[in-house]
Amino acid sequence: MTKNQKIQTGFSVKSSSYSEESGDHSDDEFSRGDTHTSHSVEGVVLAFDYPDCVGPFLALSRDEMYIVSVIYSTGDSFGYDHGRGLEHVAVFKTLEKANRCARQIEAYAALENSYNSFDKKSLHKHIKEISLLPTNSAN
Amino acid sequence: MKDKNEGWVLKDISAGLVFLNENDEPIETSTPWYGYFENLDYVNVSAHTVEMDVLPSLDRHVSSARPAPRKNIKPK
Repeated sequence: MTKNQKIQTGFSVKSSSYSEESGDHSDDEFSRGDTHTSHSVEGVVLAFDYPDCVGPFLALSRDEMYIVSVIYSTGDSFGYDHGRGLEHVAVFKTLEKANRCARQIEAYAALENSYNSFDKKSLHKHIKEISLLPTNSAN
Repeated sequence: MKDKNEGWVLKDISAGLVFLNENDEPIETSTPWYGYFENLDYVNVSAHTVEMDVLPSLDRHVSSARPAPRKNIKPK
């Protein structure tokens, strides 16, 4: 291994999803109801070829890991899909840092969805606070 | 300008520059981040014990293995 090569481990995340359709839809052939999807993250496996997540550390079988996943809604002009999207953002060895990542994502989502109400000064202050969150503030 | 500053913020968000991994480095991702932020429902943190994947072909080979048939031995 050369000096510039990073130690990292790839993981494949096992999950299952369940969707059901709800709501009325018209007789229009293109119309459809909304869907509601729930997800269950069931496990993590060492992956050598096509990992879902890569951790910047060496991990072995039977190690304890924490997966940070985001669940988001999608849709089109014919219907809304609540909780349809599932993306595994990162894998962590420590719960504190996994929680910090989760908090960063939630904070940015809040910022993204309301940032028109921020002035320039408060916007930069808010971003700086999120970027420099100490690890123990996640609890 | 306000629009330029807002664009700079969004550009940073889409690049995922400020999300930190286990080593406090930026998380690198090839997935655009916009979808998460605009329509985020929740963030899930789950704990798991890492498993080693078992090759299916090896599993089949073991389960289908049978002992060789016994030869008929005639009594003397």
